[in-house]
Amino acid sequence: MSQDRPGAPSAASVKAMASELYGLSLDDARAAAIAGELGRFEAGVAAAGPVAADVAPGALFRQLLLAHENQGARRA
Amino acid sequence: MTDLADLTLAAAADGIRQRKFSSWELTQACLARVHAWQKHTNAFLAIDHGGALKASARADALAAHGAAAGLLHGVPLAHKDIFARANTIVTNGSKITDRPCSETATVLARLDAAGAIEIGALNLVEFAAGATGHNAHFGECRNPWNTACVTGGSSSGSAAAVAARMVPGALGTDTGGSVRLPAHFCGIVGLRPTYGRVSRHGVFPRAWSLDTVGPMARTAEDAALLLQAIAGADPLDSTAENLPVPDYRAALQQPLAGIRIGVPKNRCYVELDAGIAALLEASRAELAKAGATLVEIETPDPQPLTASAVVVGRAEGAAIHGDWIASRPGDYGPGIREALEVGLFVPATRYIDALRRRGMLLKQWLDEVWGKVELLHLPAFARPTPTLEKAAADAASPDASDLFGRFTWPFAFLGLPSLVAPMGFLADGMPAGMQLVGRPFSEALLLNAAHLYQRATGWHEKAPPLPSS
Repeated sequence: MSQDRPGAPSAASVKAMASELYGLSLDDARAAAIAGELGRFEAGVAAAGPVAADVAPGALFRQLLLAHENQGARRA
Repeated sequence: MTDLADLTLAAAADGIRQRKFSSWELTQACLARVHAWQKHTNAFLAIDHGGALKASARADALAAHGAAAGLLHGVPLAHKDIFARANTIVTNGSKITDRPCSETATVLARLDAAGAIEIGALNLVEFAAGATGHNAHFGECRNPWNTACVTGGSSSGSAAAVAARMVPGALGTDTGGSVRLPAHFCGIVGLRPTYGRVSRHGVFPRAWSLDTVGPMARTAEDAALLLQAIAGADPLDSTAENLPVPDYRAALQQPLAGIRIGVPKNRCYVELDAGIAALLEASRAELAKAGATLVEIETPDPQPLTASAVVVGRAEGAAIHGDWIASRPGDYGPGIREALEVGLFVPATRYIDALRRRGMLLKQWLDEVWGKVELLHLPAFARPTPTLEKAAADAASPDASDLFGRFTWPFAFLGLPSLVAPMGFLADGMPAGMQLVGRPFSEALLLNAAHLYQRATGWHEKAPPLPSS
């Protein structure tokens, strides 16, 4: 994740998105709670550091699981 | 004389095969146990008394003609009500999904082929979206060791039914801990297989990238039998890998000599209730006695794994439920819609980044942890078992989510196989489990280690006392 990316959506953004995208009406407290939760996700994920630009979603994960299948099946 | 309901799944299957007792007798015994416990635990959403007895009579007739179906022939089971069965309404713990299914989940079809009988449908958290066992529509599932306490979730009924010996085995699903947490709280074995080991075709999704189907049973040997029946490639599920399925039962007896078990020393793993910590220490000593070598290890920080898993889980959950959240918001129980709704606001870029990061983090953990040890030994939960009342009161707190998922979400995100096995009892009389996590597709080793541990300790032989009325 690059340093200059915006953070999690604000409570006002959440409220606007809820209405415009999903037709949902959220009160201020609920929108703030969602924004707070999104902020916690953001902070937790950021701790993982950057990911290389050429990494596709999912591909390396499956490749690694399969590549280690023999090690999983084999005993030390 | 032993009540047949007290038999392990392996002993039940062997007994039927050897004609020591009939499937009908065993099924009767299990149904009697169900009726003794149901009002106390609410483990079942539906009990098919007549259908189960008819199926068991058919199984006995086949066996009499030398036509036993497979390794689970005539064994009564029950499963979390989240697996599709053709022409049957599967509730998913919800009032929204109320139409009969058009097909049968691959795992149920495989259990059918192995000869198993189904005696009912088991309670669960609504749409598998919670860790405590509450369900606003069908009532909470209660822990047979203390009915004021949580069973854990979301596979709540599966754990309660197995712990109370209503059935010798059950299937659950585990997205972020839904097999392992109930196994811990109810004192049974629960296995989350490697992502790709078991087909999810016909299983109502919680989050596609994380969902797994896992066996729940009293012993590792029983879990091995269930896994044997359900594992393997499936043309109906492209994520079920085309890899050979080992003979899990045959691998149970191998000595643990040469197996290195990592004991994480990071602070996040050791800030535990003193009783849990003592049981974990004792379980490590038993594993060492069984021949394993214990290795202290510093793992990478698991927090980014949990955060990434939650981002993926929330976003995919919202994709699954978005239309219903908009059109039928009142049909979700308290807290469930709120939990799923958050994912509507996860930016697509964050979701994609979490999935991109998954491989990178798996590589880091494979290099830094599973390059040094074959297994990790961990807690499943840090505190004494909460009461249903306290868990409900705390449900909305971020701390509750962290408390329940702290040791389970990280390994779900890594897609690694993880097993919880009972390791004894806390001062309050509640069981607790240790968690073992292995390399990709190392289910045989996890079951092997748990089997040797259970043989030495015998915790699985203790049962919650039968209710008096």
